[in-house]
This record gives sequence, structure tokens and C-alpha cells, in this order.
Amino acid sequence: MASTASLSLISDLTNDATGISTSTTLVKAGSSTTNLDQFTGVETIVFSATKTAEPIVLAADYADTNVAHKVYIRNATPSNISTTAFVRIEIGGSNIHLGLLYPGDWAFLPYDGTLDIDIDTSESNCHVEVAVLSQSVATT
Amino acid sequence: MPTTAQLTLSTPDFTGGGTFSVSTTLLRAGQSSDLDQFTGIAKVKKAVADADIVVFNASLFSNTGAKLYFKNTSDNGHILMEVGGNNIIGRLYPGDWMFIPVDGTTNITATTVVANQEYEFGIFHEG
Repeated sequence: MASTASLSLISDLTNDATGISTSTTLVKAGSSTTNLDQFTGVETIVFSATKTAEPIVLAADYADTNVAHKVYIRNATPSNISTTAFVRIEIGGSNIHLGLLYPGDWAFLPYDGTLDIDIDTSESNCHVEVAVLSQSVATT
Repeated sequence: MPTTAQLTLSTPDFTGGGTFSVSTTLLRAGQSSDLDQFTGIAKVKKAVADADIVVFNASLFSNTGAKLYFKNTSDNGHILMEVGGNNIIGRLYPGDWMFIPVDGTTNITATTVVANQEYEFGIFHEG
């Protein structure tokens, strides 16, 4: 049985209320039937101090290029600790900014295993959840 | 009514891998008020392979709590997603989608690799 990732977006910002519901089966690159075969589990990390360019996904740990890895990251900081603490996601050695996750925000993105994913945290005691679904060998 | 985004991840093949869901309300950066602007969902079809298509133009947005939704709606061929030039985020294969924060400092680009690929995308933002 395959892993799946589903997104539900509900918004009334336009007159015709937006409702997006989509799902993808998490399969290997170039396949519609062979499932991703590795999963880190969902790890929760508490950073007692603010962090800059802290690696949370290391490219060296994964097959690269022709792969369909997926990464989940969430700012899980509880509201009794902070309602404004952000987690900045960065890509690669030059720490190119992707964007900011405020408490409760999550990201789900593809990952090709060539660049590290780092984060900055804006306050102490930020809680971050991270998980990687991946394929053990790149598709040939 | 605010905008909400819910992820449901089901991983039945893995130890402890049940189904979990997380939901977030899309708010302005560091505030409790809702994101109030939306580009709508654009649908694009590329007759030929095309490199570095800008799907999030950072110069049009301030440093915000914006979110980008992008899905490869093609039947074949991956779409390569990159940030800030050619820093690879990853590959979206047919049916794959992503939902990421974008902060208005760097462009997000897409590269289609074969003819007749299709994709859809939209941005929730605060200006």
C-alpha cells in the first residue's frame, strides 16, 4: 500500500470560494507503481537557542538527482512559548531563502538530494517537525 | 473566513506509519490577521520544454508570510523546481504538488523537460 500526501486548501478570498483538494501517491522517480521505500519518521526537534544555518536535511544522506524524495517541515512551536517565532527554510551552501514558517505553518516540498536544507530559528525554544520520504536508490 | 491549508500524510508501509494531518491558518507574517490576497490558481500548458519559468517573482512581493502552491498536472515528465537562480529544490513528477513558504527575497522557477507539460500554481500573500 502506497504512501500518499493530500492537500486541502480552503479560502474565501475570491468571490468564487477557492477549494483545492489534491492528492499524490508517493512513488519513485519515473514510476507510477513503485513506492518510495524509506521514511525517517516525523522527528520533533526543540532548539533551546536560536539557530542560524542549522542543517536539518543532509544531501549526503540521500540518493540524488533522479529521485522523488519529499520533505515535510513544520514550525510546531506551542503558542505558550511563542506566537511569532519563525523558522526560515534555506536551500544549499549559500543558504538561499525559501520562506518563513510561523507557528503552525508547514511545508511539503520535493527534494532531489543535491543540496542541504537548513533552517534559521528566530527565538529560543522553537519546536520543529521534520520528515523525509525518500527512495534508497536513484532511478536509472 | 480565513484561508486554511491542511496536509494529510499517510505512510502505511512504514513502522508506526499511520495517517496524520496538520492544518494551518494562513496569516500575515508574525500577526494574527489573515493573509488577504490571492493570485487565483493559474493553469499553464507549455508546448515545448521551457527553462527557468518564474512562478514566484520576488520583486512583486514584500518580505511576508506568503505561500506558494504548485502542482505538476502533466501525464509525463518531471518539473524541476529551483530557488534564487539554479538552487534545486526538487523534482515534481506527474501528480506531485508542493506547498511552501516564500518570503519575497528570491524567485521560484520551474523548468519543464518535455513538450506539452502542464502545471497549476497559486500564491496566497499580503502584498
